Amino acid sequence: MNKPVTIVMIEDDQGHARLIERNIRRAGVTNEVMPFSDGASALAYFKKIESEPAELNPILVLLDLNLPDMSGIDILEFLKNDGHLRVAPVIVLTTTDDQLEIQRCYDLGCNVYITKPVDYEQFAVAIRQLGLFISVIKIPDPLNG
Amino acid sequence: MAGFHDVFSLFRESRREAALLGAAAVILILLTLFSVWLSHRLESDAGTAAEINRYYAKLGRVGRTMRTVESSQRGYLIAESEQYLRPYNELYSQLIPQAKRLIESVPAALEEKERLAVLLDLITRKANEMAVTVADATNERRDAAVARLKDNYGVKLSEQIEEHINALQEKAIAKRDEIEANSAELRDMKMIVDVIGGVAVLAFSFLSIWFLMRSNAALSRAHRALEKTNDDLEDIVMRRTAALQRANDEIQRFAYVVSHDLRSPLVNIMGFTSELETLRKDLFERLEKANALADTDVLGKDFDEAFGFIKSSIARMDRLINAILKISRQGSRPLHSELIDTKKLVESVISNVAHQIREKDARIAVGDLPPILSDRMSIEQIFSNLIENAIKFLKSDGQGEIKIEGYLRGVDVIYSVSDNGRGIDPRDHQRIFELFRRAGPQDVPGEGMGLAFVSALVRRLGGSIAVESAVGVGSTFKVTLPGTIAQTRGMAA
Repeated sequence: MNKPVTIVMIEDDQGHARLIERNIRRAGVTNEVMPFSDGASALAYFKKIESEPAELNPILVLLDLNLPDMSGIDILEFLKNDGHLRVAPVIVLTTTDDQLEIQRCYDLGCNVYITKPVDYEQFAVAIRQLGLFISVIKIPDPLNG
Repeated sequence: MAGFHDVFSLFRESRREAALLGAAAVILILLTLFSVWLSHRLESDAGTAAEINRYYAKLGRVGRTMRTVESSQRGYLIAESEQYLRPYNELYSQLIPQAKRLIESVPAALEEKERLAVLLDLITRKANEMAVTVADATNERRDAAVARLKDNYGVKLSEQIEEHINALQEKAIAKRDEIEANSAELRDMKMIVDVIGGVAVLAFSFLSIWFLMRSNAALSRAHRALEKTNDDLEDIVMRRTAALQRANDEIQRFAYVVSHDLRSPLVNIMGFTSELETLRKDLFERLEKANALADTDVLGKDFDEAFGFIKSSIARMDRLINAILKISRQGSRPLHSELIDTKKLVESVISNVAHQIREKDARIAVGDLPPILSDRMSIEQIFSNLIENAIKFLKSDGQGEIKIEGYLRGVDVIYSVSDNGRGIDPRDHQRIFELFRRAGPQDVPGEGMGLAFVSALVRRLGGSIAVESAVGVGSTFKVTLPGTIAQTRGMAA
């Protein structure tokens, strides 16, 4: 039996973090959410767990690109170049709807890209759909393929 | 501007040089004329001297002929031999003609006509005397002939003739010597004049060469100064262009960052406003259940009104931010030049707004639109904004008409979108191209963004846009675009 997935949320804006968490809960997702408000502390956490097998610490990453200390792209790159963590799904959630940046994220291996709409209904719908997505997602088992 | 100064002083200098060279030419011409005159003078003097020499020889010959004839006459009288008379017979007849020729050939310079007339008279008398004597002797009157000889008349005549000839010869020699002395002087003078002329020619040549070299040097100095100014200008233009490019990039980045960073708090405001709305519903439901308030309806309406204003303001702000973002993105998007069938492009734009056209019950006519080598997306945006605008501001009376036309002017392509809509007050013709500014009654939704966007696009393609419009009559937007976009324009926004 797999350990439940931990949602690692890297979001510097406390308000956004709160809204995202609230809407994920509303969608019925009960997984643990681990919030980080800057890139450095998130990277420190990833470095701590990267030596352990992925199935012991299954994670899903919610990533904002505009972080105060670094670009979310750097974190995405780190995750996708890591032996264990590369299997973790990454959902980029940001205000940028620049096509070039979106393409860059997909190229680096991001699984879903969501633009935070100002229209709250849309935002809530997007996050709830994300919640549904999280609840059905199965973290691939690196040992059993 | 050292170069221009040099050129001016060059003109001034060259005027002075021309005056100097002109004076030099006059001097040279005078010297040459003088030298030529001297040559002529020397030549004519040499001619006169030769003439005098010939005249001198003729004088001698006349004297010798006279003597020969005389001695022949005397020999004949003494020896009474016909053999002595032969020279007389040969030369006697020549004596008078010789003397006459002498008078004819005397050089004018000698002024000897009178003395020569006397000489001729003497010779004539001598000839007569000799003729008479010889005639007497031949006709057996020898005594009379000898007697005439003895009275010395003939001898005296001969002496007088010789004296005259000697005097004439002396005078001729004197005259010739005088002419030759004079010629020597003239020759000296001519030599001096020629030497001066030669020196002058050399001097003026050097002067000309010096002037030429100086003006050449000044010209090349001016040329160098101009080149340097040119280089400086290019440098300045390059620096300015780079500075402009930097400023432009900065503005783009600024617009981008601002629009993003403004958006983040907006997401929160909107999100938590919605949360509040949810809370309000919960709260009011509970209040109703508890019956704590009698007029929850009024309170609820106040709440809803507040929420409504907040939400519509946020939506508007979001649209404004998006507008800034759109323009900033447009500025950094690279342009791709391709041949565009404008008519086809406009027809596809029209098909996208067919619904709005039907709603307004308007007619739209597309004329002959020349193709253009330009950026497809920009051209599409320009037409779609102008056409949408035209439709938006048509009157809703079913008489709406939109015309899209185009023509070539030189290397430019001009497209126009005309409507018979409500028109724009001339005071607003400038304003409507500014971001977020609109004209006329604000009864049509919009952000005041379309024309600013079109104007930015047109500018980026290296063109210009203008409007002709009168309130109530309609508007014509005229877009002038270069037939091809220069590659460098891809850099500028």
